[in-house]
Amino acid sequence: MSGAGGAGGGTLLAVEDLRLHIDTYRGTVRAIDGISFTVGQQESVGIVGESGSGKSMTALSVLGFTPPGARVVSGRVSFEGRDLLALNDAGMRAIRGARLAMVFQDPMTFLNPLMRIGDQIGEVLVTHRGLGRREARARAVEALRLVRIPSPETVAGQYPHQLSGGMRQRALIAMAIVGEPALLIADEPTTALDVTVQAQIIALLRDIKEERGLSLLLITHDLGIVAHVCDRLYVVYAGRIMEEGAVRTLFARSMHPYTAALLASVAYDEDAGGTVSFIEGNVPNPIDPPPGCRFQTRCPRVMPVCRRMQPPRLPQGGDHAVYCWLHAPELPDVRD
Amino acid sequence: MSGSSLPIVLYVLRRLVQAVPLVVGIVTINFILIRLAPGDPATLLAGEFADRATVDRLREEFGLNEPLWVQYATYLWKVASLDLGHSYRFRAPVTEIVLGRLPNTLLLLVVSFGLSMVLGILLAALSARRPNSAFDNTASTIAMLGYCLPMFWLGMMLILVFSSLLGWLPTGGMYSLRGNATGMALVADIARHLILPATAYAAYFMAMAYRLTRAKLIETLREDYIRTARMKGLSERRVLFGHALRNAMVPVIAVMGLDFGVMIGGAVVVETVFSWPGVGRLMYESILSRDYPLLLGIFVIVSFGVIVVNLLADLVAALVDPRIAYD
Repeated sequence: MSGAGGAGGGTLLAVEDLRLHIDTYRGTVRAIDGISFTVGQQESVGIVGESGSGKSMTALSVLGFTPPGARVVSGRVSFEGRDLLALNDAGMRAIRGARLAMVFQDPMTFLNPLMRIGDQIGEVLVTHRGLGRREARARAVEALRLVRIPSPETVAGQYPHQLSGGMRQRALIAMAIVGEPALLIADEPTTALDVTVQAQIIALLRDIKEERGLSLLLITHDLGIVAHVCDRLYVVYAGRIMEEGAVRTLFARSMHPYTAALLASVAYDEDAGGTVSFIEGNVPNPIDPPPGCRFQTRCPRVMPVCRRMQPPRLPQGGDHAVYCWLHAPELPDVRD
Repeated sequence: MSGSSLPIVLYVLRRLVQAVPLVVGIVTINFILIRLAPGDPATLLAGEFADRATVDRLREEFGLNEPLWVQYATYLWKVASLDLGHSYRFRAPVTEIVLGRLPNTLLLLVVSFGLSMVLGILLAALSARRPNSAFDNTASTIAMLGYCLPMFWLGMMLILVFSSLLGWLPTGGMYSLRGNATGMALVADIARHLILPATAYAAYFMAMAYRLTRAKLIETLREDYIRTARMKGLSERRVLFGHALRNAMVPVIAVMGLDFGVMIGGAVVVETVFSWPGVGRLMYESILSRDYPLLLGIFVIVSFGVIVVNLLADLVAALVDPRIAYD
């Protein structure tokens, strides 16, 4: 692991070789298969991948939310010097909402429909700071103002169904930051929103990160959002990291064929008859994946070694590193 | 929602007005049904050995000689003016008799309903926390039994065990016969008499409340906003009772309100088995003695009660769930 880049200095969150397996009737799914990443103080880090790549699962397991049947097979999640995987329930609860908070994907379903917005936000402070309801409500109104909700006093007294999707996502962000956490994890925070609202929420996340001096871990499939918000970026595919580095570096000279393909699929190509480029082939079966590189089934530049051995982490200077045999100084001998 | 209470008042008024044709319909159907049944109330009232003249006099007195539609029209008019007629058997106004028995039934009903809701929901919450745990399996099996056992059979078994065999509790009635207790002693006496019928009565409804709440709660605990609550660092108890239970209760309240009619049916059984001097037993007795005005009067009052309770259930649901609008 290279030291965290970005603004603030020291490492806040370090995930090392995290492996999470899910037992199903058809076999064991290797949802996360050895992912390592760091988030520095006041740094903004993106984890990018397509659906099923394990990026959301990674975020959830940091908070200790693993789905039924899932078990963390190995790895360390150290946050502010503590190993989160070793914490008991009470220890984890003390951190959730207070030091580590999360914004989820769908603002429509992640708010309690029967509770006033102000109470849902204030509850964080009632739990962690022992505030009374009245004081918690006042602080909730402040949090709503911070996320730029117009007339926050009114909204605090309203129920989720009275708000638009964008307003609800703002309320969820207010709920996440009201406890003044050190790290905010945002899992696809704009996927369920209208395009115009998406831009507002992204701008808000970036502003809040700056104003509150917190670190941001953004889980997304959208490279455009990453470009707007993040300092560094990890590209994950089928439970493994493919490439990592500063956003600028990766956008300018990506080295992994998967990153290149992702970047190509973002652009709407007018010259090519207005088509959108996509990546051919299928994601490998996460139950019994083939040995070697996970991207081998879709890689346009696949070599025999890719089908045999998992590529090692190859540092490329600075934060940049790639997991691809193409950039190995020498290839291991894989002849049969 | 908050602020003005006018929409609620208007809603209640509208619902009550809507209930009028319902009550008229119920009265009509019951009136027709009961006249179709074989048997002549005058003969029954006069007794087996009465002479013809006595029977005729009774017929005249109670208007049983009039054509059916006259009897019906007269009855409807009287119901509308809150006069439910005179009981053949008790020779007293129906309203007076029913209202005299009503508090006894309400006592039984409220205690049983309260018991079944509180216990049923509490056990459901504990079960839903860990579905398929030993606790859940035990509670669910007991609930299944409570749901399946006929109320009258359970009542008789309770009498057999706790009254006949163990002699701990009275077999029936509401007061001790020789007792002339007052104050707290009277309350204690009634409570002793209440335990068995309330248990027999509550078993079914507790089972129902338990099964409904448990199923809804397990479903609710998978909702996304439960994850949000956990993300905030709330304790599992707070997540369960503060977030999940309230959401799960919305449909439970609606169903329990609808099933209030079933509870009335239960009252007839339990009050008869335990000789509880309530409206249910009164209903049973009036059927046996073909006391038409009394039976019809009970129907009217009970159906009005069911309508009011349904309205209450809807109001409580709207109170719990702000998404339910009063329209």
